[in-house]
This record gives sequence, structure tokens and C-alpha cells, in this order.
Amino acid sequence: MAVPSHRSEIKIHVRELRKSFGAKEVLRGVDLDVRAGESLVILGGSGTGKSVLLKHLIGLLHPDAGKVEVDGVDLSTLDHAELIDFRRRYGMSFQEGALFDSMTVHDNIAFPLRRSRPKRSRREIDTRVADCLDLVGLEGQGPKMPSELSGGMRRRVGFARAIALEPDILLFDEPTTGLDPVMTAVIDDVILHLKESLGSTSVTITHDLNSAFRIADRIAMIHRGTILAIDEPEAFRSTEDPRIRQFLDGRAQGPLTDT
Amino acid sequence: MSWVRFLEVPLRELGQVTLVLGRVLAWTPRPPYDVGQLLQQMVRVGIASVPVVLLTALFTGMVMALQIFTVLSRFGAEGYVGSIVGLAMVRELAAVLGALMIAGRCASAMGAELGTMRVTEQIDALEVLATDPIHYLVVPRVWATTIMLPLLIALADAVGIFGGYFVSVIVMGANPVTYMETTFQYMELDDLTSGLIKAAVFGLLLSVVGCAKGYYTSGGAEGVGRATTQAVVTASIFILVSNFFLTKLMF
Repeated sequence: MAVPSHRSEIKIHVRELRKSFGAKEVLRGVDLDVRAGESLVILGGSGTGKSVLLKHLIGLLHPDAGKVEVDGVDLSTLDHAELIDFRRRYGMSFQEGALFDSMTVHDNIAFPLRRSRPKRSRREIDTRVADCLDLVGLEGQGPKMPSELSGGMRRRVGFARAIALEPDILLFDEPTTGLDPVMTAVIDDVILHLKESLGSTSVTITHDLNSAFRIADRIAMIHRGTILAIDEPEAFRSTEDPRIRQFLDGRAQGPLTDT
Repeated sequence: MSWVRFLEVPLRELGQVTLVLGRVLAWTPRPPYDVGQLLQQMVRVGIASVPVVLLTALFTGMVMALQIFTVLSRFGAEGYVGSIVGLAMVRELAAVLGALMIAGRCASAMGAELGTMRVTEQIDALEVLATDPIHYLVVPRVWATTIMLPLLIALADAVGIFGGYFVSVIVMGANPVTYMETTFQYMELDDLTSGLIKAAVFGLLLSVVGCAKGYYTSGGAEGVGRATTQAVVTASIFILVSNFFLTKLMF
């Protein structure tokens, strides 16, 4: 697996990011650099601020303090319409799929294709939708409504919708949680394939360690709203840091759970 | 400073509604124009509301005729029943009662639908897919309701007048020809248009309130329930309060 050189270009640059909801401080000064073309995995327990961090990277949430720069653009300098337009370079999948439940599976995946420029023909769109469904192992499921699918299938459709436009930056919020091992491997392969064939930059949240070590160029661990460590998988696996060890070994007792 | 806290809720409501209305107006002229969505919403709001609005108008007209006949007969002025029923329906009752019924039907539906989309991250998904949720979801709903309400209320006017006629002529034995004559004798075009303008404003308000409630939903299934209830209550209050000021303004 090719590891990008340390001099490679920074795609997403996060500095001193802070966010609170009411009295609850979720992000307490996150610093993170995502390199162009790399696959970064963010590990962390539930409720450590992973999803909140991911939503800041695409401007769905706005920081209380600190900044997020993508391709050198500070997201807070964009007005609402510019931000909407800026998001054309992203694809994002959500934890529960977030499919539009008034549309068929086919229309869900076709949604970004129909609204992108330049305009695509109907045939191009249908072909691309079928390809995306094939990629996630859901051939022929296009005419179904999201309510007819299982949770894992919905998640895969959400994943297919996120990659339909082959975007530059991919954000995945627990893409493999709740999938069987074979499907997990399939999704992992798609993420790797996108990185290699398109050079897409991806940030994936997961607590599936096997998946993390398979797809990551680098792994970051988040705990209580800050990044504990960020390193290449091999270095990560052999770390002496007791907090990371506890997470990797899956122990209930340790520095992560001591308050 | 407890009175400040007392004002907090209505001010926040007003703020949300104003914000959503502002974004609807700002996004309306921008392409893409989703005519399909607009027509779909016009059917859902307009066509599907016909029975409920007509039933409301019919019975309101009938009850008005009964009440006014009883009262006017005390001083021998039964001949004016038609005028009063007609004017009351056209200027006031059809629009207000019709809008309240549609608030119950449609503002609640919008609150529930958008609220569900919010808590299941579908609204976030729209944003991520480079689509403004206000543009895609709220703009067609608001304009569909604003266009359809005056049309529905025009129908309600006619049915309400028919209800009054039916009770007066069939039940009370009034002369059908003179009843219709007196109905339109004192009615002016302004009476009709002011009622329809009110209807359009009510349509705008109830749909913006319903959508705003849904859009700002938080807190899972319980939050959706809360948004739905508040959509109806707040929309109804907006209709009743704005009705006073619109009436003051126009007459």
C-alpha cells in the first residue's frame, strides 16, 4: 500500500476546532491534517465527537472556535449558497444511510447525478446507477423503496449515493457498522479502489479495527474531543500508548474509561 | 427580568418563521425550477383539501343562515339573511375557517414530514448533495399552498352561500329568487378580493410555519411529535392574529 510522502499536499486542514452543544463540550481543540489522496481513518469510542468532527469537515456544523480549510478555502468565509456549491467536490455517507424515503433506491442514487453539471443523459444516469448498485452488491434493487430494505442494505445504498459522482473528497460515517464480514470487505475494497483509480481523499469513521487497518494510510484516534494520536497503521498497531492499547485490545478497564 | 423569559418563546418562533420566509424569498428566483415538485405539492395541498374545505364551508353557511334568520326575525328583517350570510362568508368566514382546517391538514403534515427528514439526517444528506433543503423542500410547498388557498377559498365562498340558500329556502321557506337577489345586492368585488387576498396570506403563513417547525426539529420521534403539534398551533395563531391586522388594513 502506497503511503503518501510527508511533503504531500494538505487537502483538509483543521486547527483548534472547538464545538459545544449547550453545556456539553464535544470538540476541545482538534488539530488534524488530511493529505491529498490519502485514506484517513478516525477511530474512537461512541460519543467521542467523531461524527461531529466529520460534519465540520463539510460545513454541516459550524465551529464555535478554530477553523476548517479545504483546498485552501476557509469554510467559514463562504456564504450559504457558496458553501452549498462547494460541496459538489464531496461525497458523504451517513450512519443510518439517510436515504430519501419518498424516492426509490434508483432515484436516491440518481439524485446527485441529475443535479450535477454538466447535464447527463438519462441513459448515462441509469448506467451509472446500475454500476453503483453492482459495486455495493445490490444489483437489481433499484425499484425498491428504502423502507423495504434492511439497515445494512440502506447503508450500502447511502454509500453508493455518496460515490455516484466520484467526488474528490469522501467522508464515510461508519460505512461498515452492522454489515457482515463479506460486505465489509466489499465496501473496504470500493474505498481502496476509489483512492487508487481517482485519487480521492477519504476520511472514514469506524470502530471496526479490521476495516480500519485494511483501508487506512493513516489512523487517527479521537478521545474526549481531541486527537490522541495520528500515525501509520503499523506504528499504530505497535504503539505503547496505554489509551490506544486499551482501544485496540478492547479492554473495559484502562485509561480511556477512567474518569 | 422574568418577563424577558416570557417573551423568549414567541420571539424565537417569530425569528424562525422570518428566517425561513426570508430564505424562501431569496431562493425562489434561482434555478433549477422544480415544476414537478410544485405540481405535486399543489395536488397534495389543494386537490386533496377540497372535501374538508367544502364541508367546513357548507355547514358554516347553513349554521349562519339558521342563526341569522332567528335573530333577524325578532325585528322582522328576515329579508337580509342572504346579504349577511353572503358577506360574512366571502369577507371573513370562508377564508379563516378554511385556512384553519388546512393548517390542521397541511401545516401538520409539513411539520411531520420535514421533521422526520431532519431527525433521520435526510436534510443533512440534501445539503451534502449540494442541494439547499429550503430550495428543494420548502419553496415548492410554500408557493403551492399560497397559490392553492385562494382557489380553495373561492370554492368555499360558493359552497357557503349555497349552504345558506339551502337552509333558508328549503328549511325556513324563504323565497328562492329574492334570497339570491339579496345575497348579491350589497356585495362588491372588493368583498370577494379581500377575502381571497387574506386566503393567500394565510396560505403563505401556514406553510412557512409548518415547514419552519419541521426544519428546526430536534430530538428524535418525540421531537417530530412536538414539531407536528406546534406546527398546527402556531400556524393557527398566525392565521388568527394576522387576520385582525389584514382586516384592519383592508377595510
